[in-house]
Order: sequence, then C-alpha cells, then structure tokens
Amino acid sequence: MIDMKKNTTIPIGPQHPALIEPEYLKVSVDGETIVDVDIQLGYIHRGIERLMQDRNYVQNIFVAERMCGICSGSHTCAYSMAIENLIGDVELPPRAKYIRTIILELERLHSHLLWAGVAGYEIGIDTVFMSAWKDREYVMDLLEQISGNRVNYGMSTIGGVRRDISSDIMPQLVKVMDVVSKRADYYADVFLSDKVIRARTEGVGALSRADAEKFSAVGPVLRACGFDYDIRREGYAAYGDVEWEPVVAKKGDVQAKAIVRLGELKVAASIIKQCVSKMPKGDIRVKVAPNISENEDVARVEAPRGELFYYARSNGSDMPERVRIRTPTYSNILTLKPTLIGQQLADLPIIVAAIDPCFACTDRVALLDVNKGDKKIVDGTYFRKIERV
Amino acid sequence: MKLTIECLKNVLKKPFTQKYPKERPAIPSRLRGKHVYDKEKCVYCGLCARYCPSNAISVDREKKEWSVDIGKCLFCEQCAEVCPTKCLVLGTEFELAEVDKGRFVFRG
Ligand code: SF4
Ligand code: SF4
Repeated sequence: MIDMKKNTTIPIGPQHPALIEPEYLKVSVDGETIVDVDIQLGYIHRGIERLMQDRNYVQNIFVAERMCGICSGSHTCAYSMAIENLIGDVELPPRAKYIRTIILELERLHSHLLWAGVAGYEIGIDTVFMSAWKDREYVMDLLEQISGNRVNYGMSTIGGVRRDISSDIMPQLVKVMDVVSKRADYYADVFLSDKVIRARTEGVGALSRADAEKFSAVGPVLRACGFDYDIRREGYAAYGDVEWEPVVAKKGDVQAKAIVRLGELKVAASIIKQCVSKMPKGDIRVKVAPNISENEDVARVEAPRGELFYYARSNGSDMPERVRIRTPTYSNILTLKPTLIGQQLADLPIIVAAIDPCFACTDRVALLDVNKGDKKIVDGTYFRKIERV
Repeated sequence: MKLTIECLKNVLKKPFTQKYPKERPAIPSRLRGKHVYDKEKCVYCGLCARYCPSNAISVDREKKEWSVDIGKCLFCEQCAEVCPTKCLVLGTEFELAEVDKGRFVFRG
C-alpha cells in the first residue's frame, strides 16, 4: 500500500497542456519518481454505439467513420467488413480490396508520421515535430486527391469502395512513397543516433513481455515487446496478396515503440507500391440489400494503433440491433500503469504519448461512481446481461 | 547533429505552409463541398433524406420542397450517391461559415 502522507498526489487532467484529449491521470510521486498512477477515463463519451442503433446500415458507415479523426479509414473498413460478414455471401471485387488496402496504409503512414511529430514535441525537439508533420502533408494531399477529404475519407462502403483511384494519381502515389520511405529511414536514424532523443527514450517507460500479455496490449505497443502479432496477417483486404512482414522490436521502451512505428512507415510504403503495380481492373463495389436477416458477426482490422474490433448483430430490419466497438487504445491504456511506475515525472508525457492514445475512441464503457470515486469491476456475464437490454 | 543540419537547411527554404486565405489552395477535383441541386430534375423521392446520416435533408413530396441544412451536413456525399436522377451533387464551394444559423438552410 502506498503511504499517501509521504507521497504527493499530482492531478494531471482532465484538461492539461501535456494531454491532447481530456483524461485524468492521478499520479502519486515520491520526489520526482512516480509511485502510483490511477487512470480515469470517460470525459468524452459520445454515445456512438447507441446512435448506431437508430440508423440504417449505410448511414452507420459515416457514424463509424467519426469514431476517430485519424483512424477513420480503419473504422469504416472494419464496420463494412463486419456488415459484409453479417450478410454472409458478399464477394468483394478484387479492385475494391486493393483500394481499401491503399487507403488503410496511407492512413497508417499519416498516423505514424503524426505520432513521430508528437513524440518529438513531447521530448522537446520541435524540429522533429515540424519535419514529420511536413512530410505527413504529402500523404494527406494524396488522400485528399483520392477521396476529396483530408480526414473522413468516406471510401469503404458495404460491398466495396465508393470511389476509384484514377490511373493518373498512381505515378504520384509511387513518387510520394519513395519520398516517405527515405524520410522513414532518416527518422529511424535520428531516433537511434541523436543523443538527446536517445536519453529521453532509451529504457524509458519499458513494458515487459509479461505485462504486455497480461494487459492484452495490441498493435505497435505489443510488437515493441517482441510479439509478432498483426491482424493484417489474416489477409483481409489485399494483405494476403502482397509481401510484407510486421516490424517487431524487443525492449518495449519508448525507443522500441518508435522503431516499430517508423519501421512500419517503410512497410506501408512498400505495400502501397505493390498494390499500385498489381492493381486489378474491374468493378469497385457490389450491391447489397438494405435489410439483413438475423445474425451476428465480428470483424478485425489492424488500425495504426492496433487491433480494431467490431461486433454487429442484425435482426432482419435495415438497422443493426447492436454494434460493439473495441478500439486499440482501450487495450493499450491499461499498459500505462506498469510503464509509468518507477519513472520520472518529467517522462510522463512521452510515455503516455508512446502508446499513441486516442481517448475519444476509447470512451465507451466506463463504470465510475464520480461522487464516491469507486470503480466497479465487472465481468463478462455482466456485459452479456447489459448487452441484451 | 543530423537534426541541426535539417534545421539549417530549413532556414534557407521558403515556408512550407500556405498563407490562406490570401493564397488560394488548389481545390482537389473530388472535394465534397456545398450541394448543387437541380430543382427541375428532382422527383422528390426522398431517398437522399432517408440515407443522410445526420438527417440534414428534408423532402416534402406534396409541396415539392427540398432543403438541406449545411450546418448539420457531414459532406459524406451519400445523398448524391443514392439520388436516382443525379440532380444532386456536392460542389466545390467549401467556405461556408455563417454568423446566422438560419442561413445554413439551403433550398436549391
Ligand atoms: S434523391 Fe434526388 S430526386 Fe430524390 S428527392 Fe433527393 S434530390 Fe430529389
Ligand atoms: S452530404 Fe451526407 S450529411 Fe450532407 S446532406 Fe448529403 S447525406 Fe446528408
């Protein structure tokens, strides 16, 4: 038990300059060392799952898209896949699969470049922040040309994609991918060789293999601990047709997480180039009926932050009876506790940023009695019970 | 050291950012902006309203009235996609800020 008299408790959040989104970290420190941390979420609960029960399957594509500003492509793709699984016999045209893959990988590129910038900023090196965000703009411009929007591309739909990638964008896609892979090498080199960055990242906020497994970490956080686990291995979209390998690091510290993400930039660029060269011709979508008979199914997508999970249940109407979403940060946030304890308070921003948290996506289930401050621990039976309501 | 070189290189370069609104941005051809609606071709079927995720469109078949509330619209283009007569498309007008909420409603 922590002796509260000896330790000082510092509230970080719900609104705090070091945090991009509202959440509350109650940090107990002994001098400069963090001895305990309590994470409280739920400040940006938006009731999205409930909203989905009032809208038809097509309208929900755009509701799902607005779960997250950065992983919007992954959300629409995962939602569409879940609904396609619900229907059962939807055979996507090959070209649609390739376009989905390109969008998902472009999204990973801009998300990881954004992360590299944020990490640089949290460490206090604004040069990294500015150059990474500048390189991100090339990717954003491509997304804008392909989809019309910088965020919320609205590309995936049930049964395919909504827009084709015209052949005159292809050469530019390849050119930007070459630039991005060169820049990825540069950033990886900077993160490994720059003295200041190394001092702030090496051995900082290390997550052990056992803890990663215990807290069910996903995505780059899990891969930084030496696990070769990536949902893209399942071969959804066109991932089964292209050659790629997940990036895995060993140490689980901030540096390892950076290496995994920067390595994934190169992998993403190579996947996109392969997709461009192998792009099949033909239709981009198939028509599906608006009503779906009673069924339930799931879909998983490797979003930039990790495994994104969608569950959907239909009841014969044109609206889903229930959609449940588990976002990557929901799993990764739990790893903050073991990584923060024993670290310096000044390292807190970069350790939190290293899981690339997205709280707006995560705030869905929080059972917290704010007045009393107690938390309720619930088991699976409880969730099954409330899900039926 | 590598960062210092990067820094110095950038000192000599022109700013990467655009000076909007003085400098006009290049408009992507697929930009989803304000609706362009052709009243003549509309058959008031109401499909656009049925598929709009934010319930921004209202269609009255009897009175032959159609309107969209740009303030609610997410610019997803689903309405234009389902429109059977293609009388509704999303144009390239994107500077839609208003001081009065009522002016967001566009009647075509
Ligand atoms: S879908 Fe097209 S034709 Fe039908 S009401 Fe809307 S705008 Fe008119
Ligand atoms: S663009 Fe989307 S949100 Fe806007 S009116 Fe059309 S369907 Fe509704």
